[in-house]
Amino acid sequence: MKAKVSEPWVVALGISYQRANLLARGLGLEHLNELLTRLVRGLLRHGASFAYGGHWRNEEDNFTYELLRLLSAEVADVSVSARESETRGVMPLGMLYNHSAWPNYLEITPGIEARWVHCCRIVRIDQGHAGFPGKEWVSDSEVASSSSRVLLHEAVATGATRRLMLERRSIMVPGAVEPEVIPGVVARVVMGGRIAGY
Amino acid sequence: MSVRKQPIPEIFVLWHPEFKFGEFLGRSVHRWLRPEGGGGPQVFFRSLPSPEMPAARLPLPLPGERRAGLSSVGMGCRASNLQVILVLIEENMVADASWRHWLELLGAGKVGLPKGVAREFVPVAMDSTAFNVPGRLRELNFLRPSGIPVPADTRTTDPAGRVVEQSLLKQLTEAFCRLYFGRRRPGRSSGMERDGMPPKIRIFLSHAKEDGTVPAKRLRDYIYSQTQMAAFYDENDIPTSSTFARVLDHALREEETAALVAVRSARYASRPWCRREIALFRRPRLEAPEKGRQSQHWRLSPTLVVEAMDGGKHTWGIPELGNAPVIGWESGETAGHEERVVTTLLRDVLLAAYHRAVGCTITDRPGQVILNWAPDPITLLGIPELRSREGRTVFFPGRGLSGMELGLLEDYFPGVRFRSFEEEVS
Repeated sequence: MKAKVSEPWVVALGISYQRANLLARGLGLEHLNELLTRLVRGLLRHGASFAYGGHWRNEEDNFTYELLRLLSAEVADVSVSARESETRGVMPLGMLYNHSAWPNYLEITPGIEARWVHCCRIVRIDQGHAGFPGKEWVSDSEVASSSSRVLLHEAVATGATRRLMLERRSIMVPGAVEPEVIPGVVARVVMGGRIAGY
Repeated sequence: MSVRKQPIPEIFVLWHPEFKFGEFLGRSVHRWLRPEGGGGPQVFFRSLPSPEMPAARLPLPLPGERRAGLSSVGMGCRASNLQVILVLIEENMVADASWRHWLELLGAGKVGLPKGVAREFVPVAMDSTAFNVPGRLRELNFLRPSGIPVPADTRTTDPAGRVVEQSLLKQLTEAFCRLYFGRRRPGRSSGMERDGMPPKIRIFLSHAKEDGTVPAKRLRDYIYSQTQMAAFYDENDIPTSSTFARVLDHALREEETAALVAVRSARYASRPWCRREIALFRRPRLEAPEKGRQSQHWRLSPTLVVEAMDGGKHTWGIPELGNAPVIGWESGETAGHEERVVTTLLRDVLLAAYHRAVGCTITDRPGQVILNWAPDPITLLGIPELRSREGRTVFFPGRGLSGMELGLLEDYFPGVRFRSFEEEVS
C-alpha cells in the first residue's frame, strides 16, 4: 500500500479493555479489535505512524501484537535497512513506537525486538529519563521485590514516558553519523478505556 | 425473493449478567458471524445494566426502544432492516422480574423499532426453566443446544462449553438459513420461523477418486443423515464424455448448487475433472440487471477447501482456488468433524447471501462493480469489465483488505479502486 502524504506524523493510541465498562454499552473485546483495525488502517494509509505503550505479554486483551500484525501487513515491503537509513534525521512511515518505561522494558527480550524490528522501535524510558540521578536508581534485580521504592520509581518513569512521547527526540546510535529521530506525538486516540486499575 | 428485499440483520445477544457463560457464547456468535476480514452482520450485546441507569437492572435499550431517562440507540449499520434478538434464557433471566417484564414487552411488540426495521426473536433454552419465560417468546421454537445445562463456571474453552458452543452455532446457522432460504409458514409473522422444508441447499463435493473419497463420503453421509441439504457426489466415476460434461455443468450452475467443497488430496490438482469443477464453480456470475440500475452486481458461491493431504505428501497449488478458505481434515473418527466442515460451509453460504443483500444497498453510480465475496486476482479476472476498462470502483464485503492485499490487486488491476462495504455503508 502506498502512503498518500509526504509528511509523516505520529498518533498515540490508548487502547484498553475493561470488560464491564464496554459490556454495559453492548460491546466486547471483538468490537474494540474491529475498531482498532479500521482506525489504524485508515491512518496508516494517510501516512501515520503510531505510539503505543502496551506490554509484550501475549494476552487476549493486549493490543501490541494486533497492532504489529496490522503494520506488518501494510508495510512489509520496506526492509529493515531501508527503514534504518530513513530514520537518520528523517521520520519513517508506518512505524510503531513502543515507549516502554522502566521496569516494564526489562521483559522485552532481544528475540522480541529482533522479530518486529522492521516495523517497531522500542523506546526505553529509564530512571534517568524520569529524573532520578544515577546514585538513586533502583537496581533491576530489586524489581521482583515490588518494594515501595520500586513502585515509586515505576510510577515516576511511567509518568515521564507519557510526557516524553510528546517530544521529538534524537537518540545517538553508536557508529552512526546522524542521530535516530523519535518523532513526537501530534494527536492521541483513546479507545475502550480503563477507569480503574491503571 | 428479490435480492433487494432480502433481510440484512443486526443481531443482539441477550443474557442475564449472572449467567457468566452467556458472555462466552455472545462472543462466539460475534466471531462466527463476523469472521476475520470477511465481515458479516453486526453483533451487539445486551447484558450488564445500562451505565446511565444501573438501578433499573436492565441493559442498554435496543435501537428504536424508548425508555424514560435514557437516550435512544441507533442501528450499527444503516443498511440493516432486521433486528434479530437472540435470547439466552436460563434460570437467572427467568427469575429476574425486571428482565421478565422487559421480555414480555419485547415479545408483545410494545418496544419501539427504527423506521423500516423488523424484529425477530431466536430464544435459546440454556436450561429447563427457559420455557417459563413470559409472553409470546414461550410460544416460539427454541434453539436447544446439546450439553445444557452447563456448570456456572464453564467457559467455551472447556470441553463441555465447546459442545454447547458448537451446537448453538450450528442451530443458529440453520435458523438463519431458514430466514434466507426458507418458506414462511402460513399465518406466522416471524421470519425466523419458517417451515422445516426449505428448498434444498445443494453442496457439490469435488474430490479425486484415487485418494479423496473417504472425506467426501463422510461429508456426503453427514449431509444426508444430519441436515436437510443435498450433496452432489459423483459415486460412479462416470467416464469422461460429453454427457458427463453436461451433467457436471448443470450441477455446478448457481441455481443448482449453493457451495462447493474441494477435498484437496495429493492427486486432486492433477485430475482434469476436479480442475474443471473448480474452474466452473469459481467463475463469477453477473446478476440480472435491475431496471434503471447502473452498477454491475456479481456473485460467487462459496468454496471451502478441505485439506486432506497426508503428512509428507507433495502436490501442486491450484490457482483457480484463489483465496478460498481452507479447513484441515482430521483423518481419525473425530466426533463432530463433519459437522464443523458442513456448518462452516453453511455459514459461508449465509454470509454470501447477506453480502449480496448489503451490496444492493450501495448507492448506485455508473462504473461500479459490486461483489459478494472478498476479491482475489483470479476471480476478478473473470469479470470482463475489470480486464478491459479503467476507472471502475469495486465494492467488496467486509472490513477491508490489508495494504499488502490491496497493493497486489492495484498492481494487477491498475485504474481500479477497491472499497469495502463497511467503508461505504456503516
